[in-house]
Amino acid sequence: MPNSLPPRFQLPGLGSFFGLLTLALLIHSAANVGLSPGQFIAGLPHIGRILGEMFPPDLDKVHRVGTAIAETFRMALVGTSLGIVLSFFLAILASRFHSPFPPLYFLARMVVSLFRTVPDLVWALLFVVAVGLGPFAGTLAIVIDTIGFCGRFFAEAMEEAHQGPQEALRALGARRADVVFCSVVPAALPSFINSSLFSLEKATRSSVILGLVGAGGIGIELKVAMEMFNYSQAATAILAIFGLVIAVEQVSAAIRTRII
Amino acid sequence: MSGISAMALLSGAALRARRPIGNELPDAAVTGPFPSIDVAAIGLSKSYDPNAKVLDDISFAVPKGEAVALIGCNGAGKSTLLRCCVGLAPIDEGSACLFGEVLSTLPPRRLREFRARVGFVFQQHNLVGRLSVLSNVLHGALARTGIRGWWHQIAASIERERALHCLELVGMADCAGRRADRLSGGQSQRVAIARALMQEPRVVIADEPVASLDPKAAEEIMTLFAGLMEKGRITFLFSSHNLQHALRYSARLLGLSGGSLVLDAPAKSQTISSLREIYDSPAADA
Repeated sequence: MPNSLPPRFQLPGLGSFFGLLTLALLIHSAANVGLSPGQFIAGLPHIGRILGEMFPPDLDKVHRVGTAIAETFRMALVGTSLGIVLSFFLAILASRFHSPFPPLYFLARMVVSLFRTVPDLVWALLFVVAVGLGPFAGTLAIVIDTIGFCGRFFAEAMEEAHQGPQEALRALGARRADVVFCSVVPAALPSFINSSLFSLEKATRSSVILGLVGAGGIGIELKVAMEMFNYSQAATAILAIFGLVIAVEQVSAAIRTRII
Repeated sequence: MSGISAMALLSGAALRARRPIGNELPDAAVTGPFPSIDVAAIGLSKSYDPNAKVLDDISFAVPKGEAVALIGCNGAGKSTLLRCCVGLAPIDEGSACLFGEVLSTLPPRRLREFRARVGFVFQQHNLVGRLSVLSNVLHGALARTGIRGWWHQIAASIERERALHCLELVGMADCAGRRADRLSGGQSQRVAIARALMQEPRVVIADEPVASLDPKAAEEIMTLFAGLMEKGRITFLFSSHNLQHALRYSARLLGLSGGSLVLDAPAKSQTISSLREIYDSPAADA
């Protein structure tokens, strides 16, 4: 076959076609979200003014902010803990190799997907309507959100557990529960701990936002302060949130390093 | 294979048993219609790919108390055959029998009872790495202890003592509290054997138990198996590439080549050079 030069241009392949489609979608989206560098530059002085009014933070309400941040942490802790326990059992059903019946596997997967795809703020709005304003609604929203997050990662960790020890236990007459608790759980434990700690960090940040819709915690303090243009009081709340999130992340990282 | 010929196979094997009867362990729960046959395959075929059979019409019977070695080159189907024998791998045609009963006819609970009396030692030992050696050994008794056998911290004192005794038998008692993933290959294999002993097995099936060990450790492990057979009159079915081990530690040899059983003979009638023919046969290269 004689040598020939490749053509200068070729029709795009499927990969290139989808790449171009994505680029077109990005340009269209950017044009429709009102991206405006001019507007941003014009708004900078306002941001500077607000930041100026925030300092020094108002320490008169520090006790009230402290109580609210403690409530936020309690919501995160209780919601995450309950969510982790429920996730574990749901993950067994949602694990391809360990679920006792295929219909239960699909049902568990659907529940986990539903809990994960609906945002926590939507769950909080639902629970505020169902059980009223306050931290209970927020805690329930965190439970659901944690199940959506941990349920998936727990199930995947269980599926990835080394099959050899599981087969060894089956060979010696172990029941399904024996295999899960004696072999799968120890193998997946580092992943369980990792996901649980990430979940606690995520829940701590979420519980701040949940307060904005009346689901308890410091969010409501922040919302009221911002709506009343009381930026120094808002700064106290923001600093408290910052301190809580950093503290949870540091403790979580320390536990992760120590255990895993 | 028809039911009559299957019965003939099982009965014939019973007559050939070198050391029949005598297992001192309580085994009433796992006695089928052919109580003197512990492991058998009847016309067993198995394939992973529809075009290539891994095992083709395999029939053999291992009577109670006999030591049988399974030899054959890589890919001959040894591991698959051993896994089929305890129902760990599904069978396409034929049957696998434990204690004289066809596994495929057993309800799950009864199958677990049968498996509980078979100590299966894997080439890669398959211990639970993050658990202690003692917990791993206690798993051998899961069928009778249930939840309390999950971890050594919650196990009954008598079972803990028994597990420690099993570790003493394999010379690993001083490692009882150590994590299983901190052990060497030889130590892990000893613990896997202790786990099998904890089952109080009537049969021990070992899939290339010394393949990953150095010659000294391999010799120690095989001597250990031989000693356990002498003491407990356990039926022993093992696969090995080591022909010297096969001749020395078994009374009978089964040879697999290309998924077919090409040898079923007393070990005394064989030599290393005669066994090498199994590895050189055309089917072995297929």
